[in-house]
Amino acid sequence: MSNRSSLPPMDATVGEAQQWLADGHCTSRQLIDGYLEFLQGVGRELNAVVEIFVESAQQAADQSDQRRAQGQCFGPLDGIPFTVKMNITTQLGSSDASSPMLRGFQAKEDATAVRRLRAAGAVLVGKTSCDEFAMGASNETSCHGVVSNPWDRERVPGGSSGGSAALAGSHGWSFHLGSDTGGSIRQPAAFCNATAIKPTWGQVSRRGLIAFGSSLDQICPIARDAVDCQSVLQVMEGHDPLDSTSLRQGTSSHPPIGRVALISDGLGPGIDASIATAVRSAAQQMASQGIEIIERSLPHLEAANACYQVISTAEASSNLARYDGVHVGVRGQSKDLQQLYETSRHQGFGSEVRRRILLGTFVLSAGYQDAYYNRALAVRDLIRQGIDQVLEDCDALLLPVSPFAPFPIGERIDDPLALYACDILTVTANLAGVPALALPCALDEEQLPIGMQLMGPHGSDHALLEFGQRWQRWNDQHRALPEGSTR
Amino acid sequence: MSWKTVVGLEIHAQMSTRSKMFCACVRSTGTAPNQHLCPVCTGWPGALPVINQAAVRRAIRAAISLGCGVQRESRFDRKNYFYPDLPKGYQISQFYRPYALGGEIPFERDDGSSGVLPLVRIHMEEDAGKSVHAEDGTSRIDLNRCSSPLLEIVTEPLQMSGVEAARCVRSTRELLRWIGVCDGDMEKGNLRADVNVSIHRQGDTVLGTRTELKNLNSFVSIERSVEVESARQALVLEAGGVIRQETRLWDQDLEQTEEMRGKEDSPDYRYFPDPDLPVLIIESSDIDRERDSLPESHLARKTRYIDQLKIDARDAESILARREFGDFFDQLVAAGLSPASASNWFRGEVLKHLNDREESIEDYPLTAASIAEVVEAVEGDRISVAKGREILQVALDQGCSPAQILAQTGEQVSDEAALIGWVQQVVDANPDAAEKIRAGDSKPLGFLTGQVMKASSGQAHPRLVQQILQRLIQHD
Amino acid sequence: MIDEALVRKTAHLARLEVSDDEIPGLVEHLEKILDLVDILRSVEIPEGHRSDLHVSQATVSMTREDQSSNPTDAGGPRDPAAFGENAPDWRDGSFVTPRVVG
Repeated sequence: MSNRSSLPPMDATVGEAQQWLADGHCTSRQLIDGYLEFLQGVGRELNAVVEIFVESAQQAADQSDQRRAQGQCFGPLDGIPFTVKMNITTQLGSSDASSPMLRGFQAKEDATAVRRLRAAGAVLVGKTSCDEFAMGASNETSCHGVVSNPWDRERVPGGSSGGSAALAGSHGWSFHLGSDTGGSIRQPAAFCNATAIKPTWGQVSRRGLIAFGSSLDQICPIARDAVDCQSVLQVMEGHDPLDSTSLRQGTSSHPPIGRVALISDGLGPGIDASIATAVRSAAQQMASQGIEIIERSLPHLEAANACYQVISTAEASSNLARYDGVHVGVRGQSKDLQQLYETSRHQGFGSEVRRRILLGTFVLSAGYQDAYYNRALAVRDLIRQGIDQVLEDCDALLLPVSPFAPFPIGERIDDPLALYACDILTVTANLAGVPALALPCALDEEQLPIGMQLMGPHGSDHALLEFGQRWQRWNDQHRALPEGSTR
Repeated sequence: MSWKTVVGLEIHAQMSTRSKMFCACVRSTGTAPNQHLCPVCTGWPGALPVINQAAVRRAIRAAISLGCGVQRESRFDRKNYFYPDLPKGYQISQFYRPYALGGEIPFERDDGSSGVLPLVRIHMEEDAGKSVHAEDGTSRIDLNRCSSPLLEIVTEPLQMSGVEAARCVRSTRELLRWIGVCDGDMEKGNLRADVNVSIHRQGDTVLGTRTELKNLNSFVSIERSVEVESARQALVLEAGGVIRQETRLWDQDLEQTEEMRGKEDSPDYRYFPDPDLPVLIIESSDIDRERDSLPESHLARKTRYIDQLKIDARDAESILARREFGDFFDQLVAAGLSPASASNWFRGEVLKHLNDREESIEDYPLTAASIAEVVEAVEGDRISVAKGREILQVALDQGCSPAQILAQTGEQVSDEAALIGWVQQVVDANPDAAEKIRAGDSKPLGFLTGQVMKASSGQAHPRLVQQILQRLIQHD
Repeated sequence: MIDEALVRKTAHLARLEVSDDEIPGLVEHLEKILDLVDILRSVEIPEGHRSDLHVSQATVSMTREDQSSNPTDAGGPRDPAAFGENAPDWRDGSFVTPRVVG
């Protein structure tokens, strides 16, 4: 039974919790037990967590305490609890991508990023819900049910990493792994008042990430602040011989961010006024701290979402072909092979996943590939070049994460295009492969979180994170927890 | 109606690497099903491919040997289709930008002249698994072979006969075996060919519609299927019908081609670049390194053996049959034997051993150096030829080195006095045999020699014994 | 441009079952998305532009040594039992399917 009075304050960051442990105020075991209690309570109420690993977490916590007693801690994450999104493989438990197709699938192996974190002493406590196969912006398509936003439980936490974000937005001490293909960590971070970074493509190994849009996907940390995110990224990042696309050279050092371009396209019509206002205010606050703010436009912003839809669904249609009822995953009933494929995939995939596979198959098919897929590739190159050009005379780009506030559960789910509209400001970073940091910015009139994002050049992940840390010394929105959160 | 048959080939050769194309699983056949699997080749969620360096190197060697232009930048694409032996639902191949373009396969024409079959391209790809029909009406899928590294050699269409088509495949097989890229085991399916056949009339400017016969894995099936299919097409066209572009099944027993039911005529593979694999860069230094490490070509070796080493052309053929044979032969020469001796002993003994023991030369336990030692003892007249052969056989049977046995073998006796002693002994004991020889019948000579060998416990010099026998008998 | 036949054909390519009542919804959905995606056509692509090298310029050619792994190396389980456990139908060491034709 945990003695909560010796535990760190509920809003403590990983960094602060580690200090708490170092100062001997509590043991890792107590910290983990306390966090497990939270998972079993609020975590389950929000429906954010799917599996909780009590025994192994307690064992790992005890081992961390032994190391600490001998002065042999592995680093800032030793003894700290973390969760992993259901679309990232873990040795423990199952990795089902929140899909009926993979229900019960035991990967028997940690994704590279997870392995590195556990080797650094971080304690895996559970797996979190997400949109099915990471396809969604509201966490309403998970086979484990809808996830709630801790700031207003009638609203969505965002998606696809809704489970991770709901947890990060409602309690400290921990960090969480999610993924981002078109905004899937940044948008939920913005909706839940958490901090997250989508790294440069290739910065973190994708080995063990259940693929959706391979050229866009990244595993991402989400936590209470930019310091935490940086600690996690430092452990996860780096070349992996099991991922041919993981970067080999270490990130080149980028100078501290001093000049930020406010992207005007992200502040005009189509964006909620309160969000635009909040981001402008943030820019002013930065200016008052000596940051040079200029205004720029992103070329091809309107075409970015279209480009993303084509490329992500094309890759997804191919990545999900392996779920055919033959060697892994759910199998339907049939004595005929072709029918077996169809019934298995019908049983296994929800309607959004099926829609995306259909679109992706179409844009690659004979007679259409040139007009759609090849054209999207060409536009992608232009988008990439456009970003590079804008970044030539500034260090980072500033814009909102989401065009609108967290919306009520059920409001957009029947209109796929209304959900796709969530992505318009986030897909550019995935298309260009550049890093993007989502930071809490303010609350709107309804006390709902507003997040902003900073995009930087390839490899500037740490420069962005360091800037985020400065921002979080000027602005403490990231410390807020939903009203009524007990301490 | 003189019809001309045109054939195009797609030859699939499995590269002889230790591990698979995109993962570290053992590349093997002939084990229990599904023994060599991992998340990558089984298409599990979260797995990613990583290219096998050794496969790329072998691919470069193949391209150089076939005269292709190796491309500095090439790419892997996904070929998307559903089949139970293809767990990812796509095959990683090279469609838009293969690593090698052009090239040619030399082959012998039916009229004895040298022909050349031009190549379009060669590309790398991964193999699929295997499905086997089970008695209970299901199919059993074995993924051991899945993701093994393959080379696909695509030729231009060329007018040729079935025999010539088989020769093209044979020629390719020999070359790939020679340079160590593929073991060419067609029974195991490590080398197989898809054959495209079309016919047209003399004078036609356009080729006829082609049909495809897939996965032929014997020369006979290649030869016969081309003949049978072109005959079938002729019948159809002569009756006023049209040839449909389709894949047909070759039935070896009935010697006929059949329509494949339920197979799509031209499947839409939706090729697109595999986002999990970066561009493959092959630098000219990579190409140079492979070129330098290529073994002496078959032709160069043949010339060297016949012209320089003066080996009889027919004898040379057996030594040239496999590159490893020639390597062994060269080692015998390097160990000090004359080319002629090396040739005789290699063909007469080593090849015989391999045959008797049904062994491949890679597993042959005797070294060239140890055989050379024995041969030198024979040629130095210290032991007889028969003794030498015996030593090698015993070494093989007992699993020890010939040098050991040689050391324990006494030298054959050449001392005349001793030899005369034994010979006289035997002649005295066999007066009838001696009489026959004096009368002109040389047959008993062998028997008498054997008796002398026995009397001398095998130590007598057989040739000298024979000379002395003849001398003694004639003078008696 | 999008009609039932196209939807059925595409669905078959993807081995997705579509019932008759699903068709109208899918046709409409595809039409809407393709309308959205139409904007790509208005983007001006420079003459001679080639996208055919690789999706990301940030990574370079990578290969690995030709070594076969031990079961304990990173790179996932190698034990056939693991694959059997996660397979929908596994008997006598093989994946089982309805009869494969062709």
